[in-house]
Amino acid sequence: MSKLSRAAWPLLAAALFGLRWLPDGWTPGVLARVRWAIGCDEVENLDRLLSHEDIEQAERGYYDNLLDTGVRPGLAPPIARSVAELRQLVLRPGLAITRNDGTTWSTNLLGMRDRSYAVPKPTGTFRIAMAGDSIGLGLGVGDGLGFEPRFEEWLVEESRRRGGPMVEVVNLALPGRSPGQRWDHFQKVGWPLEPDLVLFEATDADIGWDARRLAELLPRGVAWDAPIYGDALRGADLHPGASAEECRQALIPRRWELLEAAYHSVAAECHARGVPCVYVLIPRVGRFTGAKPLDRLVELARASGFSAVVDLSDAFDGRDPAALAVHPSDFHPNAEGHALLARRLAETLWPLSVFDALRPADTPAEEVADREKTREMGKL
Amino acid sequence: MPVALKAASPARRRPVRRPLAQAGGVRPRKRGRLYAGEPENCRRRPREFAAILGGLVLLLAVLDAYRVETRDFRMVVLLATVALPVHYLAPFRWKKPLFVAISIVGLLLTLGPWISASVLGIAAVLLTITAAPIPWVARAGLIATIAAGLAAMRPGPVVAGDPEIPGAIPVVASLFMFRMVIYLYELKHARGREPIVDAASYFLLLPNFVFPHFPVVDYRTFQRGYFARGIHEIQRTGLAMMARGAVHLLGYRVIDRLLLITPDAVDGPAALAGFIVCNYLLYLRVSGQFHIACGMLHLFGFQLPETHHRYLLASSFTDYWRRINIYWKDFMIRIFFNPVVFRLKRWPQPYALAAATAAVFLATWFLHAYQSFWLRGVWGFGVPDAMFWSILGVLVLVNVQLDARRPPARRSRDNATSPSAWMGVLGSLRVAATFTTIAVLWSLWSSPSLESWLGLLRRGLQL
Repeated sequence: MSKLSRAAWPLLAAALFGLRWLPDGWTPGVLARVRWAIGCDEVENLDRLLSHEDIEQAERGYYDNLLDTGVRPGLAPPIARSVAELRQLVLRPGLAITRNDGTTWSTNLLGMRDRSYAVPKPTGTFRIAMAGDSIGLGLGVGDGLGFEPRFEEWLVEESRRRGGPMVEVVNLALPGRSPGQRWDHFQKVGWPLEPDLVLFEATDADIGWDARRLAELLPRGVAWDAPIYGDALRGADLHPGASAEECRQALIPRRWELLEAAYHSVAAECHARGVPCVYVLIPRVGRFTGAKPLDRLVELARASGFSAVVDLSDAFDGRDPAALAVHPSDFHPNAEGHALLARRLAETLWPLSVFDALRPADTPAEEVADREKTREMGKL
Repeated sequence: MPVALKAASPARRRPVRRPLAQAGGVRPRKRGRLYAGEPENCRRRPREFAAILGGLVLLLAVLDAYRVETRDFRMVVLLATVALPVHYLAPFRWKKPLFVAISIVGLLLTLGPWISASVLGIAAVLLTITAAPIPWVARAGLIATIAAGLAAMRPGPVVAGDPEIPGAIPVVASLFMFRMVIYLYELKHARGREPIVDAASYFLLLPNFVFPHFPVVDYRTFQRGYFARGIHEIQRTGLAMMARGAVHLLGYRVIDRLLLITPDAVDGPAALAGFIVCNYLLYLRVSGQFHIACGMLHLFGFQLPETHHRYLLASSFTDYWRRINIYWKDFMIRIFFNPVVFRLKRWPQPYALAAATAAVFLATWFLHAYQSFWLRGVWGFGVPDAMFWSILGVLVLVNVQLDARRPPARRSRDNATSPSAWMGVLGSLRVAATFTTIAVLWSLWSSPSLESWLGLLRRGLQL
């Protein structure tokens, strides 16, 4: 170790420490990006493990796999457990803990990150059920700070003000699950709750997600008969005993077909049950697949037969990702990011006819005024 | 019984560096304190130590500010910071047992009482066997049997998204899987018994509980390096190592968060080059962790060599092998290379060297899978893995042969820093060529299959 480095490191450490606490906006261009990149935690508790596959960086080699293994989830108990089904994991029910990052985490007895809901549904209640991923779940923010509970709060208030029914938004999101897996979970837990409306939350990570998940699951003998993928999976010409790599080679080129099959299944099943289903595309913080794939994704959703397709992928445009992410290593929005999403969601969904039941007393003039008001919502 | 701290006897005083002070009649300061019978390297100088402790607190603040690695890791650094003054002031003969005690506290804090109890129980059994008054072969056989039993009981691979704690066996494996090999090797060649406290401190290394992937510390180097220099000098070196490790870990984040693209996004030569370079630089996380781990051991008086030495600047494949993961290289040379060369001493030197190099790379390939099995639960053998080690092995083998054929005078001249501009350019080209080759090979190793890697190259080269 040279004498220079021995003398220089305290200065470097002090500079790094100072950089960390510089007020936002004081660091110019490239330095701000570097600061954003080094600014927060690495493998704290479960988030990285849960989103390990989401971030499309599975091909990280010997050491990255090795270094992340054995990472303990810290002192807080695990929030999920694995199941040998298509959905792969479920949330542990009845938890009320503070996680290692200081956020509160509660689940109801049905294993949802939400309050308890009556089954069967009380008369006169308009129940919305949301299938979603880790962003829908609010991973990285405390209880009540995700976009779903904020949106629910807003809907309850608006419906009450207009003489509408009681509104509930039930969160059935699962972290790190592909569209098919989200729907598999919804089928098992969501339908018994008798929803009047389904929200299917998606991100641009949906592209190829089912293919990657199936490449993990099929070699374990899981999901071979998953009806949600229909012919798209059968057409891959895979047979039990295929290795993960064989599955991957066969499925990755068919990723769009698998996604299309999953979206079609969701829309068709909702249609068959007479429940409207709204597809909601939300952005990830600081991650963008590209305009062409995103356009194709939206087109695919439109062609799949959803009652409505709502594209909120521009919700974070023009905002500094560092101010909206839970931390730089992550694409999950922080509380402010969720507030933005909730605001955009309310603004965009409220005018849809599927919400007519919540505003029985509205006149056309009131509707226009409400839309204006919705845009200015600051309380979300 | 230890005696109270007292001023050092005049014979043990450090020489005064400023003779003018004496010339002027100023009484030389009493520098440092020792307990009776302590080695000179243990001499305590509170002011110097305060500066070191301040540096450690500053480093801890940086690690905490950036939430470097896990919370458990930062807790262990905090534990080291809190325990260091006690360890510093403790009498020399108490220092090693105290280090073991601090490590056990670290184990309890990071892994909880149940896993810690299991780890300590298994460790006690293994250490008892190594110290048992039975032939070496019987001891080694018993340990191999226990290892096989633990391997059979080891839980399966960690499934992504499954947060279950894998239990005590991976932790035990992390402590013993390589160091036990070295320790048994030393026991086989040792003349007397090894002190149990030395063995305990060797296996129960505080930072190992938060870094399961740990440098293969050599037992004799560990033992001989203990207070081998003045403690403050060792601690300062350790702090600098830790700081260097922290910089590597933060650099890793810049690569990982800002610069690295996914293999699927490679669509041209520039993207391919960027991916290959950044993918290789992800290794900064390994070197960062190793520097921090060894630096932390320095704080407690264990002087150890560098774990990595400017490996990105290697100028040949043997040079690369010498610079990257130096502890692994030493482990391989000690356990495989030297014994093979010794056994084949009647062979012509080039053949013996070739056989020994091949043995080293075969062992390296297998032991990486062995390590993966203990830590991850999967062996991870695959075509890219085998190809990576084979190609690297062949490149090093050729380099070893060329090095061996060059006369020593030329070798030393080549290694010396040359003032000539031409030599400088040539050296830079060699560094660039070595870096490029290793980075390309690394991309092969990181690929899930040969087809994926070829696909990556095809996309990148637009073939």
